[in-house]
Amino acid sequence: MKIPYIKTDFEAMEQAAGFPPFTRGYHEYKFVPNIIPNTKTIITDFELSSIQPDAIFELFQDLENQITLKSTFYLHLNVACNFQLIIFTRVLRTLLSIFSIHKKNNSKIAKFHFIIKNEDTKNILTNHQYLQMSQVDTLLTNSECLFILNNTPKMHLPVDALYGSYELDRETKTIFSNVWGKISSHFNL
Amino acid sequence: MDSILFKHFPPIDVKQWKQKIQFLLQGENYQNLIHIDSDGISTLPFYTKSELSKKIAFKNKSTPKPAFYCIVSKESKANSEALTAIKNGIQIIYFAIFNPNIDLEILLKNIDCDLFFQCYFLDYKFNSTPILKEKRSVILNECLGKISKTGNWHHTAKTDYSILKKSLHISQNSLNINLNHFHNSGATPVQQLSYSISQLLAYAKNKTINFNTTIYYNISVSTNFYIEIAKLKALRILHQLFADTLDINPNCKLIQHKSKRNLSGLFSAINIANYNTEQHISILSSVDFYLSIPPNFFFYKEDIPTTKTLVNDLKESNADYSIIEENLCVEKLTQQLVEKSIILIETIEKGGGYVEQLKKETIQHKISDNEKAAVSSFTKSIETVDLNTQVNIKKTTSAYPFLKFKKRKALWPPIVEKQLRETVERPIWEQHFKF
Repeated sequence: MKIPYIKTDFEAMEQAAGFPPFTRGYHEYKFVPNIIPNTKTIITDFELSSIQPDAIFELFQDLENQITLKSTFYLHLNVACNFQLIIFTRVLRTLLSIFSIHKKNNSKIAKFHFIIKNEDTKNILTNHQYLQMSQVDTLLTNSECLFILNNTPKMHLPVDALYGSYELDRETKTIFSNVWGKISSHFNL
Repeated sequence: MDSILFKHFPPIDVKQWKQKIQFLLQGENYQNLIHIDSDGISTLPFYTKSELSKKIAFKNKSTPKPAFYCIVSKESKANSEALTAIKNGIQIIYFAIFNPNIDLEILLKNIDCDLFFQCYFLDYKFNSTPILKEKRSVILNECLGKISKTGNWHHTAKTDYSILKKSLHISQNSLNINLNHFHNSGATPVQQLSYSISQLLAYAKNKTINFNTTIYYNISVSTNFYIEIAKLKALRILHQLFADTLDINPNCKLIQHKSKRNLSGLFSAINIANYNTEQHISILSSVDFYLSIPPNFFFYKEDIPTTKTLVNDLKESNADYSIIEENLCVEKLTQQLVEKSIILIETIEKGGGYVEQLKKETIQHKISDNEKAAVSSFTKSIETVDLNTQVNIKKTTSAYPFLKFKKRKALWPPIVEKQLRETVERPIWEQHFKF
């Protein structure tokens, strides 16, 4: 039985981001999100209210004053867990890295620890996979979701599972372009 | 903008990337990041272009359609449920029928939509009923699923093939292959694919199918995201490959059923969460139809949803197939599954084919070995939370939650479906509930 293989034309594949995931300015990815019960108090340095450019701009304004003070920041994201999250965290990490490089004079890139709260019991398994693909560090959840996650077979997802997705790259490029202009001009990046 | 990105993040090659990971692992072995499953397929921590010098020429972009699963025990009750589902926006009803003598006039009264009939019998008279021809019906027939599940034919081998052949010449009849039975029994993805395609070969060898026969695969998935997406892609590729050599219809249809393998007998919340993930995976895989969760999969009276709720849950599902397109990980896993499945299919053929391998009990043993290993691995992997304390003992049981198997006189041992959690959950159930 002959499998109809064809030679892959990688040159034709558009890539928005010319860098692999490990160089997204992020150096301590733990491969799966830590799952923390919502009863536990966790550090939050900043909170991002949405994925809109204005909210991201506000975050960077807050961050500007503190970026030189610390090396690790805990960032709470109030955003939905879905496919868009993968794109959004990609964009955000890129922006944070560029910002960090500039503002810290290339000395040491700041680390950003992403935290997301999700208590959707119906979709917790799917959401957990999206969080993993988005390289989110901590999932804050309720006891019911925690129970479901603890009693479900563990998944073995690649770190950069969506590499090669044309749609993902295209969307990343679009969202990045929408935000980059305002941030780069204001902060002199 | 590209120049900005490249300035800050110059592209690095695979070697540099691996070195970077090694550094970040701080002494942990890189090999530990590679997961090798029971089929010997490895999921890598990352995929790059260098992993793939070739890809399989295949494209599929079906639009998945939701269908309401309706068990027919009483015709009038099933009719009422179907009408409620239609009223709530469902356009396809999937009837599970156990008796060929049901009154179709009552069952189908005022129903005007696309219909599936999953028949747990093989009956030419039923298959040629005029009312089913008048309606937009698909009657799903099979006999090799029956011998796998029970160890017996519907009638005899010769009669079954003959009825099937005659039926498949009537337009509304289609052939059905139950990949989900292998999944529910604990078979690996490669086994599920190979045994299903081996059934296709057996039907073709017996000249049961013709070029106009549409083949529907009943499928179920685990919650293992990428391997399951790759499995369904591999199924379509394998079907097409073998169809070309057999001169049968290369386009098959996939119908997604709720996995029994993933069912929890104690916790409805786990079942709902699993169901949503399974459906998400199936939609990302562009299955043709995905079914609502059967009401008999809810084991407590308090948890049984209304038809309206089931329909709403069904319609809520959505996912964007485009994120999977051109994905390197899915492509690589698909290639591995296709290659390994072809080897197993050829081994089965050399051993006399699917039925012969069943008679020799080879298939049963192979699935059983894997099933036991999976249970052992699952039991070790779950957190040691006290399941006992989480059980709501105030709930009223509506059904026995574990798959029952009645021993019957059979030509050979059947392939038995078994829930992954049964070993852990059954003692707790028996301690708290009576049924």
